[in-house]
Amino acid sequence: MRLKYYETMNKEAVELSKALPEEKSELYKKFFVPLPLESFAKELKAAGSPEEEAGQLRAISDEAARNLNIKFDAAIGSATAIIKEGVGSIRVVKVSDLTDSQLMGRMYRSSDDRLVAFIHAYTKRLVFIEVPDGQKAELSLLLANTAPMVTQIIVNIGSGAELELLEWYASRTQEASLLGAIHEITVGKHSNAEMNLVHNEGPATYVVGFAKADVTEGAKLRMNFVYNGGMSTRVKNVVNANGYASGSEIVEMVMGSGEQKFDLNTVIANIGQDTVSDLGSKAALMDSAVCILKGFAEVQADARGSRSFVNERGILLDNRAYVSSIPGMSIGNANVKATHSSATAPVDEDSLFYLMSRGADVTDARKLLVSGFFSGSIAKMKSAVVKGAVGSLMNEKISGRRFGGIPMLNTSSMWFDTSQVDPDSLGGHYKYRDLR
Amino acid sequence: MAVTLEIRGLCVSTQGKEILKGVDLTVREGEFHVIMGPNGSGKTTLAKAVMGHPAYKVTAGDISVNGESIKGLAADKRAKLGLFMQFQNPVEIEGVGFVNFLRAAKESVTDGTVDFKQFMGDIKSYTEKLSITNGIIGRSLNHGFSGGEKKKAEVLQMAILKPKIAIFDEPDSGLDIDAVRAVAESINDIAAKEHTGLLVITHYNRILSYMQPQFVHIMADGRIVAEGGHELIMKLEKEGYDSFVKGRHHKE
Repeated sequence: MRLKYYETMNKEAVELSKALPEEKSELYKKFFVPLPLESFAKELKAAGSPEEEAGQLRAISDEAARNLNIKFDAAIGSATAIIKEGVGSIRVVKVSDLTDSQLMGRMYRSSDDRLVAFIHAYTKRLVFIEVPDGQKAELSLLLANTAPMVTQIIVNIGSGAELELLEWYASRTQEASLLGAIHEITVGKHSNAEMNLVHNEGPATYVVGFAKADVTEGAKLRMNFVYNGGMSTRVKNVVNANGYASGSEIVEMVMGSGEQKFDLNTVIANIGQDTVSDLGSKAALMDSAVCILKGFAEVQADARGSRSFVNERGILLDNRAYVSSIPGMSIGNANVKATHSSATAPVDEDSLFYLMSRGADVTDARKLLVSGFFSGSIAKMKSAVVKGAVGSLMNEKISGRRFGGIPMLNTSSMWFDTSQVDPDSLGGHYKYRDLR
Repeated sequence: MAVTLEIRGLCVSTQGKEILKGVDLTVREGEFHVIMGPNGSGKTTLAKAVMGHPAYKVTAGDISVNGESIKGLAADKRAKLGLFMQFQNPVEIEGVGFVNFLRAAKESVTDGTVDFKQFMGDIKSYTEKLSITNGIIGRSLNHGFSGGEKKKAEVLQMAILKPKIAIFDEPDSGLDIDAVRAVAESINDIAAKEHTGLLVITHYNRILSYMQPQFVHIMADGRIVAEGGHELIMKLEKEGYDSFVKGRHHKE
């Protein structure tokens, strides 16, 4: 019954979405990556094969533990979910077990976006991640599928709590597939959360991501998005600094190659007084990859004393690669500080020559420039394991255009500016190289 | 085997303009050469062409190391043959750690792993010798370095990489008197210790008061117009570049 209700909502939302200016505008269409989601509807309804999927989840988990020292607490597929014993912070609940009010009380409404409606309509289970008041949690989650999959992840962080979360997205199907997720995040008063979402889906997979976050009084949320995999990616994130003196820092790192396409639409909103919102998007593209960065800062009328920053940067490693950055702002209060900027450039030939004149071959020199480009963002991640994993993904991408798998730990050309590194989390960047 | 860099009839153009119009020069390991010349005479072009900058096209002549042409080699291969170039304006690369970069460069040119303790000890020693007061460790490659720090950091790289032949493109520009002396003395020390062949490009003879070049070459309008020893520097001091540019002197 409830699924039917969702399908009705979906149909209504699709109709609604046709009227949305961003879908209709000829100008916007140029900066929009279309996704043929409806073609996956039939497969999303099917039950899938739990055994096959469980086997794949275990295989990926084992590989991640072996290669990158990542030990997942839970692995979620389209037909099955495996949660490590003793991990109480993660629950997987069937949609059919939820009440109508719970379903309707979702932060992201179907009418927000037709792709949201689509995910709502076809989600079979919700993943709850909960950190009680005053508690600390470090969690890692694998989301992988053998068939098209959409899921919803509800993150509730209590007051005075801390969360460090890794979500690793993998999809190894050879046929065209879909991996979609909606996040609804609430960060309780004076809490601190870091979420690392690493997308490394295979080249046949369409990626859809939505996140809506509310950051309450005195709380801090940092979200690091790494987009390395997938055929086409479309993302829409809305992060609200609601409470007094709350803050959000959103980092987007895109490493594209081949024909990959990325469409990132992120809104940071200063709603409460004395809030800080910071969006930094970086894209390094090879071959014919395309990336559209649409960062938007919204400073609302009550956000006196707030600070808001949008910074979009691109580096083009090939002539055919294309970055379109469209930063925007809407300022509703005069007593705020708000800046936005964007810059995209090809690889600097003089920098390349300088590095090569010291013995680095052209691939290593490019790796160096890309690692330098991303290093400030990577260095701020708390977990050395995540840093190593992200660095390894990027190395593998630049070296052999490979993505979608679990790389071997290889940070040999990834160097992080130690001035920005928390020494407790990394122990010095030299230590990094010893992890090989 | 001692390394010899030979430049024969070298013509180089960049952005469609011919800059070098037939340069002949031989630098052997352990020798000390100086090239002096007015602005725009082609000194930096020569350095970049030798190191293989893709924007500088060799239109005639040859560059060889130990008799083997290196014209077709990329800069990294030339570095592995023992060539090194100190840049007049080293690029700043934010996010690339100086020390780790240097360590990888060392591994690359030696095709081996580096004894990290020894490596850090060498860096500390040369950092002190060169009076790099803000240190190098933990900083991005040349990023935020002052002009003087950049020059000193280039010398530090030479000290660590131990090239066979090092080209210094105006190592004295932008330095105060004390720094000129520190840089010159460090280059002298390293070259003497490692038997490095030096090719120093400079406008001024101030740095040469701390160095003893064996061969002096004067460059004007893309050619070497005069060659000799220390006496040429004295002539330059008295007469300036004008007489060389006007062709009153000839290669001896």
